[in-house]
Amino acid sequence: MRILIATIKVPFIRGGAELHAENLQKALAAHGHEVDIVAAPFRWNPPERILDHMVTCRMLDLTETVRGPVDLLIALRFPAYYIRHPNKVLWLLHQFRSAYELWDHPQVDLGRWPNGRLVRDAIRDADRSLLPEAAKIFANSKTVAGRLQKYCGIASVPLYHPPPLHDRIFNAKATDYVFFPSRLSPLKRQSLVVEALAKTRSGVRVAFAGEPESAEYLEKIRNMARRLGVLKRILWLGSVSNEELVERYAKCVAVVYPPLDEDYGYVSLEAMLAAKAVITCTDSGGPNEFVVSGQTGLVAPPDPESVAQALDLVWVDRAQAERMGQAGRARYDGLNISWDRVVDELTSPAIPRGLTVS
Amino acid sequence: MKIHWFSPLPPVEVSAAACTAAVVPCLARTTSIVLWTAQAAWDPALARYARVRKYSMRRFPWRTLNRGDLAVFNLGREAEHHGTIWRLLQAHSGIAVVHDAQLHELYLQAPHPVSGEDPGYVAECERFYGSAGRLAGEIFRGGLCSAARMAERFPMFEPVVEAASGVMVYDGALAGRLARQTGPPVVHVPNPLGEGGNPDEFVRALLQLASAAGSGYATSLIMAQRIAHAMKPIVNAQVREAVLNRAADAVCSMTTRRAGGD
Repeated sequence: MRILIATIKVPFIRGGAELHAENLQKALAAHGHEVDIVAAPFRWNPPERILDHMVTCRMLDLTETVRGPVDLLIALRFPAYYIRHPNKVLWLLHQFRSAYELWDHPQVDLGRWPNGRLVRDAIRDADRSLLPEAAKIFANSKTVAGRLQKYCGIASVPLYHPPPLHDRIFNAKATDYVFFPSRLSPLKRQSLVVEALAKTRSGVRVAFAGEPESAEYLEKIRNMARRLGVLKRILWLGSVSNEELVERYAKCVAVVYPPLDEDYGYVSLEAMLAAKAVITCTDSGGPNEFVVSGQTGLVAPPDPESVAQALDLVWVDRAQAERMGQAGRARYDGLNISWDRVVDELTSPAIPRGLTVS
Repeated sequence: MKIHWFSPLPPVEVSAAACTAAVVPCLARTTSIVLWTAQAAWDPALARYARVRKYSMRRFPWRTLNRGDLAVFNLGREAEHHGTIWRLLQAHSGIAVVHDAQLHELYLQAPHPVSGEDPGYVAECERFYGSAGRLAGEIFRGGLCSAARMAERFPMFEPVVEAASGVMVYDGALAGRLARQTGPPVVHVPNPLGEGGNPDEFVRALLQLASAAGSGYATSLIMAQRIAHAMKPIVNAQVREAVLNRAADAVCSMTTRRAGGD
């Protein structure tokens, strides 16, 4: 088949979403399909720009290219999923979160603009009107599918894919740190872990790896660590190479990953692949689809005291942490997460509406 | 339901202030109201029914406004009392309650817009009243015609309420004329302080309009304006029209279902 992957590109920014589209392209190509990625430029400030991008995407019709007809359009992101195609399959990475579950979040700025609410309503309206035109709708995770159902009343099927480093991750003997690999951002809640460290009783150490979203946030959590007297128990690794990342996974005592309502959460899957216990929070979204509290990790309420208890447990009882890690690996293996399955689901003929997709 | 209400407040002696004093007690029975004002003083009795908040155009707390369910903007001809309210309506769509049949003075004397370009008086006269409007606008700008005469011929009602998601007017004939145009939904309701009117009926009509209007019209308008602006440099009228038609189709497909908030 000739397949186009429709996504967006924020100029000069490269992150997980770009990598995700490329990995999908490789997986489809490995199955013999001719595949290309179409990325619409995107900017969200001021919010009226978002309306421009919505209309622009909607005006595109990718039924044909100079190479001939396009058999399938796989749309991943807002607003690229408005592009017209008679055989469009949606594999939703996430909707425009500022218009939905993050609307009231203090760090999200759509609501600070005069027309913020109007743009939010326009996005919701367009999603409700246009998403159902896809022949099949998949979501990146149950969390994303749940939001689509809750806010738009649209059913979708969760379709998991392997994390980017799935074939390189390994396990080694634990050393002396709990690992938190993620971009430093208010939504990832490194600050919650810093606060929790101050309440631990065991002297647990945490290694943070990842680029800060802003210098201000890095400064904020460093100052917080200094004020709480835990600076010496934190290792700030900054951005690390893939080689260092997999090694850090391999040698950690456990992984802590308590984001706020994450879409999917590669970190929890990568930790499971490395056979490490995962500490996450009840409101963390995607990670809760994989972490079974008490079996493959610990799911704590999102408060410093509870997270501290979980950190103490894995730090003090290494044998228990190891058992949970091994159980996590077994759970991952049982989930049948593979690119082959993703390709099969996305490229198989659509089942007529009204029939159940399982 | 949380309503953000913009109006001159008593003791200012304009129709909108009197209407607000009469309507708010009824509206407060079923909704939570925030009265926004730029006045230094207001009738303290209003605090029995609503929270009164002062605002400044330069630092308006948009997040607070965005978290409400409905914004209502009371407009009248007096720019001194309604100018900033109109500019807020242009920045943040909501229901416009219009207390006068012509808004020419408001249009001419209001402060600068909160954001975006001011298209200019003559251009707006032409947009809404054609070549006669343009000619009259130029004559007026040249000092050869009075504002009162212009207001009589060209009430400038349309550009003032254009950004609203719905409009309430007291004049049945005006409502009928506006309803025939491609503007926001319009309802006619008797002045709650006038003959045949009462505050309860006004509140009923307001809430019905809010429920029916949604934000679909306002969104379409913004999209259409932005597309038109982007297409301006295309000189060939046929090409421009073809592109605009395609864009209009795209906009229609996205906004056919009127959003009703959460």
